[in-house]
Amino acid sequence: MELLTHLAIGFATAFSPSNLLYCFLGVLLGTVIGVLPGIGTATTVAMLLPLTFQLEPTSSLIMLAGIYYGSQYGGSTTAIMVNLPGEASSAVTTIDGYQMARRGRAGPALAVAALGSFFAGTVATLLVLTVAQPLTAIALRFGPAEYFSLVTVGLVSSVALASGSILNALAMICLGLLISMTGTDIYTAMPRLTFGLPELEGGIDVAAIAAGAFGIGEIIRNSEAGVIARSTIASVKSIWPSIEDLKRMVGPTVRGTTIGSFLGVLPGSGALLSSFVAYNVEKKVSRNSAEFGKGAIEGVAAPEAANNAGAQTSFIPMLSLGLPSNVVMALMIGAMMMQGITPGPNVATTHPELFWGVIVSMWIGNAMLVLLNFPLIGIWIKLLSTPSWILYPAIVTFCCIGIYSLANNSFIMYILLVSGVGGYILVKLGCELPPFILGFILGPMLEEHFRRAMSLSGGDPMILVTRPISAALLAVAVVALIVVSLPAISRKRKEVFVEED
Amino acid sequence: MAVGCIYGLTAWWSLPVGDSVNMGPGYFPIVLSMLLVLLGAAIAVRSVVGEYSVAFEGIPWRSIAMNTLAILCFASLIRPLGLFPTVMLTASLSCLGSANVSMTKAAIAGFSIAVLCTLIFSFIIGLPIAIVGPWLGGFI
Repeated sequence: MELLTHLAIGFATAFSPSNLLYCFLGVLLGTVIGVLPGIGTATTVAMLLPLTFQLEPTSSLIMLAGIYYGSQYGGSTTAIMVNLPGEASSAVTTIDGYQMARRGRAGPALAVAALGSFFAGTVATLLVLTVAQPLTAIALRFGPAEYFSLVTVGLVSSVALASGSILNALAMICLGLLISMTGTDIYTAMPRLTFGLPELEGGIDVAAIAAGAFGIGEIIRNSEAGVIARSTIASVKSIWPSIEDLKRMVGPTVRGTTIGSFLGVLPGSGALLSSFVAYNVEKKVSRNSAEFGKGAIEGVAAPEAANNAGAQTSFIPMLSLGLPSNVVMALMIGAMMMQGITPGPNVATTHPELFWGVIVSMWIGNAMLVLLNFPLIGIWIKLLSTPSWILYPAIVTFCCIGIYSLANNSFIMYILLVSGVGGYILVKLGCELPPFILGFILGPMLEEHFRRAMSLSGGDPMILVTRPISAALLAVAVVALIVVSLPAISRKRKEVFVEED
Repeated sequence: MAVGCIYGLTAWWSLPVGDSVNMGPGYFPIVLSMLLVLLGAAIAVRSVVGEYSVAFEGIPWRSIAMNTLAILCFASLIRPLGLFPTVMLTASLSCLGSANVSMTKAAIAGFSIAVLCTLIFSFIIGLPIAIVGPWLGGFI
């Protein structure tokens, strides 16, 4: 019965006219920007983050969530139409989606992607509803030692799923943690790592770092010669899939949803991994496996369902534990903190309307996606042909205005600039940004819980190992680290990520 | 190859800062800097051994330079000049960062983005930034 009361709170919140509007705006903006080639989910969310700070907390999170799955769906559209994945997680969709488009079946491919995503979204939302609460109950019994270990697990698993070198990823986490220490110390109120700049005493803004590293950095990266080679845009004849198509998509969608739901909960980039796994499973299971790579509808339905399910279930650790499982969730945690809400298991009790409202709005948002995309596919395709010389300056300007409006001072612009150029250099050096951002956002949490645990135990680090849950979590982190370092696994990882390019 | 150097530098640069703060607040940063130094060293060793090297070419200097200029320009001019002119300038500069863009194209891009941004940010969202700043008469 408790579930029903929660659902009622959720529906009441999510169906309020203003929240419906923000959800719609989020989905719309997310799709519009996600459709643009070369702009991934993280970039989209980072760029639009400042817009949501003016809203009240619940609406802003609802809108951010909308932006997230909107941009993910937008990315799939690009993948199908021009063979350019807007982001890594829709890379698999290009394989069969673009082939379908070339055979004049772009319409059904888009429709199947939308329907598959909607189905996955519905199931995953139900899952979030049922799982989030018990998980929260467990998490409420956590002490600082357990939290420290939990955050460590989150950080380590982001290494496991980064595609490049493990050493680089570890170094990026440390760098992120270190930069997050900038500002005023929480216990002694002493300014540290500020280099004597009073502007840095308040800490460095997540939004500025993210918009710089992802937004500006991505623009510079895209300007490299030959990164965006435009392929011909396929034309859309009919949107509606045939009965045959619908029959063929049922199995893959269900399997994709199951895979995505489980993998999405794992920290790291759940949506990315789940679409790959779903595609490969489908290739093995399907009766039409010969058609894969040549425009099999199963090859679109399964990864699309999986990545959408993964996107939804990645909210579970974020909402119930305050632990982000990917960059977008990390940014949402950043947004919560800016709104004055401490992320963690308490959110469900202190802000029930936010907790349940966001969950229910995810389902509404998915329904909106389907409704929005059928009539508007023509417009998305037009958007795809926006020339880059007008697109890139527009994004740079949007980042500038958005970030400037956060602080109303010019100093934050220098942070934007430094993280933009810095982010580009780091990526160029083979270091990935997601571990960095995760480290940056989890840094203060890690430090706070560590110091609290130390003061509880009187400075004895053994507390981390003697408390059972904490010890188990740390063991998970160590095992994860060992497993990814094994040569066999790293070769396997290489294969998976080579396929992605 | 440069990976190691960059990390080494980053780490060494952060170390003295970590040390100079007293024990309480400095503790965590110091631990982290040491970790980073270790990792940096490991990466440096690996790149010297030559097992893993990064191609460092094809850097779009033009894009970096123009976008840097654009952001600096935005930072320093937004207050005195106001939203519309600043955005026009920022967008045009950033536009010149793409390859094969003429001045005319950049100006068109700048103007249209400025119109768009003024509409969205000033009229729809209502950000408290002057559209035309004090240096240019400054109404609104």
